[in-house]
Amino acid sequence: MTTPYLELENITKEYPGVVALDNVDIEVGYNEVLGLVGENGAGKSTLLKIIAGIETPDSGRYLIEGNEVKFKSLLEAQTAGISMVFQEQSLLPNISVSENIYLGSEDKFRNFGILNKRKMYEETKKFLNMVDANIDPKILTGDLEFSDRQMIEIAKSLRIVEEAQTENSIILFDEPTSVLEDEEIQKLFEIIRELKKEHAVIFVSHRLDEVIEISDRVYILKDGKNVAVKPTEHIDQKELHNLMVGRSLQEEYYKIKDQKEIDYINGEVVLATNDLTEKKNKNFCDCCFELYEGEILGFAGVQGSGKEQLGRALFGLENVMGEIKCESYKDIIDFPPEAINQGIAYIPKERSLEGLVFGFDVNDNINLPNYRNLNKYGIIKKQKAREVSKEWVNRLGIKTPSIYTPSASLSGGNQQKVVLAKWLAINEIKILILDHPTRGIDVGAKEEIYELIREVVKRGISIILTSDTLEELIGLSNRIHVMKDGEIVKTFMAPKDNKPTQEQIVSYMV
Amino acid sequence: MFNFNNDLIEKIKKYDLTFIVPIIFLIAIWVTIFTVNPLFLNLRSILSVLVTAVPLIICAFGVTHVIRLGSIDLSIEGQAAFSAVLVSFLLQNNFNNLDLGFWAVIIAIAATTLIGALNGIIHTQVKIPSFISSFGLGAIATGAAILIYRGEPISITDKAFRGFFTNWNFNIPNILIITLVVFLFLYYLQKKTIIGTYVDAIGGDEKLTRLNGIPVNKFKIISFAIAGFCYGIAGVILAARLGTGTADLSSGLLLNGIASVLLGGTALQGGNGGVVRTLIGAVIISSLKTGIIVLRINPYFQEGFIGIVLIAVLLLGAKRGKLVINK
Repeated sequence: MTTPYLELENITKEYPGVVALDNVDIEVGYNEVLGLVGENGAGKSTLLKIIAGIETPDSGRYLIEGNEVKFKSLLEAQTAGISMVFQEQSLLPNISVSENIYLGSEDKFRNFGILNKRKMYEETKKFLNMVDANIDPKILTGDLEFSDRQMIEIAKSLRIVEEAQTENSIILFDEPTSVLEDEEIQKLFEIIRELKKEHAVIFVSHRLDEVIEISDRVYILKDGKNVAVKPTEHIDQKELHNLMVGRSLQEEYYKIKDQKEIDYINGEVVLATNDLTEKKNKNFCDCCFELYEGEILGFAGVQGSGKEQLGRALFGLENVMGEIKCESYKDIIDFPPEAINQGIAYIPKERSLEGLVFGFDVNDNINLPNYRNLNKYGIIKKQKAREVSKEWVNRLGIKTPSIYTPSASLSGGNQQKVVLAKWLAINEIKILILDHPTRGIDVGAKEEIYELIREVVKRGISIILTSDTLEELIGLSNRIHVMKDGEIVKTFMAPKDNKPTQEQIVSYMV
Repeated sequence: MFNFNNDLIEKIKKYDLTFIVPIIFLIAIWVTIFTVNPLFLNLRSILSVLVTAVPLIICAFGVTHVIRLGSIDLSIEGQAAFSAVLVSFLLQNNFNNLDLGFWAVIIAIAATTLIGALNGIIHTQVKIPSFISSFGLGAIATGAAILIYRGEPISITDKAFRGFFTNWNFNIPNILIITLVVFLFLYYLQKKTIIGTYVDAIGGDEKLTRLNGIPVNKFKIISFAIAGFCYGIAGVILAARLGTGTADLSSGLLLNGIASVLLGGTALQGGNGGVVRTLIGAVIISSLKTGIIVLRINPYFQEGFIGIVLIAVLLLGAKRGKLVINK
């Protein structure tokens, strides 16, 4: 048996509160395109980061051509011939294309400290030609289209593996197609097929058809575990999908029997929008929808469909035109305090950046938006505030040693409960916008959040939901709007006895 | 709320307004000055305005690199004062018997270069924001300057030294030649060396730059040292011009220095701009001061007026809403 080019054995990686990778084994052959699929949070990105040297595994072996390696940084991995094309682009917008491609490796253009930029431009052209990109190396990177920048990323990777001067090398693609048009994707695939002649490739994508098209073999990850490996010749999307999700819709998991019936004829509309349009980039256009009391309204769509921005707009975080109608209000909302006055609260996707003040303890985080009610002439009623936070810690079952524990030291699920608590503690809040409420928290904690969502709805609060997985969205929602390119293209009713399938929804998303 | 005419501003911004507005503004100031007082329309008076502006211009050059990093340096006045006092102390004077001549200049500038480097070291190694580290170090430098002369201002008696910085040759002031040399050096550094590229990269995204294997801290320290080098030159020029070394020589250079950089169109969040823009910004500030006198505006308005102009120009030019200076 021949040794594969790259091997991972029993790789395990834990983050506080989450096991990202659990004894994962992977082999990549020379000149092979290896696909890697899994749901969000399945561990794809962590795995790539370990291969690229950005993260180090807690345990397990990492071998290249049979020799064990332990990379301490991206740079070390790069010198060994491993290069990654990043999902969130790694290029600096404020310097030129060629400066980006050679950033950190300008040595060969230096003469007594002075850079020979002309030579650098010429060398850059060579790599740009390899990816068939007709781009001026002198131009500022930020002035280019996204797809062009993607090509520059690839050119940079090629530069890195060429300079590594190892006999064999591998290029990792982390969801490179998520924002590309069909035509650009085909171009990318041609490049990958070309690369395959000299390098190994790992290709991560959540579009299963692409993975099947481009890869030789595909690994399926689920909840940090490696569940299967299949050659792509004899596999179809459906089979791949079932392996990836691993379960049909679970009634129990999403508490579907607790789902509220909404009366769409006589029920009260708590929020309606009229031709809501994002002004600058037209992330969403002419969106009209109504939210009923006690309803969970899901928004489905691919990345870039505008669903998150639409949610943010209702909280006054986007620059919009159109109309938002609440009980006693009719205008756009362009300022979060105004949204709160209208009873709207927003639970952001980036919990650590936007949801919590990390230096604050649980008590302060829960009361932060509520201090406006908890003061007398500007002096905080500390006693009352403590009572409020204690009450909500108990009601939501937040696991914390005390209300004075720093929020940052809680697990992801408990942090999310703190974020929820701070809005639920305000009586006037009638509408919650949940932006990926279960992102980055483990399975058990997710279930608790679902329970909480059902509980909240019972109190008459309405919810607007975007979600990491379609499964979750379908499981929780009463109704689902499908968005594509910034417009609402289709609405599905999702009563508890008649949920739409993922395939139905996906067909409108793409 | 605050979205008045954002569309218009966006549209104009496409034509790199941050560069054009300051130039138009500068021209407008001079047109106004010439109209009110046509006697000003001669090379000598224009050169005089530039000569007055030299310490400001050179300090602003120095802080430009730091601002492009996305950092800030509040030690301008302290370092310039230290250099001015140190050079007076080391030259022939009425205070002591030292007479190091040319070497005094070298030592003073080397000293502030080191203080600048120390500034960067404290910022990067102790990991405190440059806002704080430079503020503290600036105060220490001022304190050190005062300690040197202990309340008794030093008068410089070295005529050759003063002459070198104040004489005119062939109708051109020496000092402008010196400024030009400093300018070319910094411009070259910015455009042609690895330092220039890395400074922009760090200002653009520090984390990402680090990921590319670039020793970010090293280049930060170098930038702060370059800044210190510039403040040192400015201090020496101030001492030569006034013939004395005291700690309050440099007052006003901090506000006006940073204002020059911003007026020129270098953004406070870092990653772009450069010394050409700063030159324009610094000349605008000196021209404004001249203009205030020529137009017989009450000089007590001067400081406030510069503040208003700064805000007005930034309103048009800078990328608002993302001002971060805690790096």
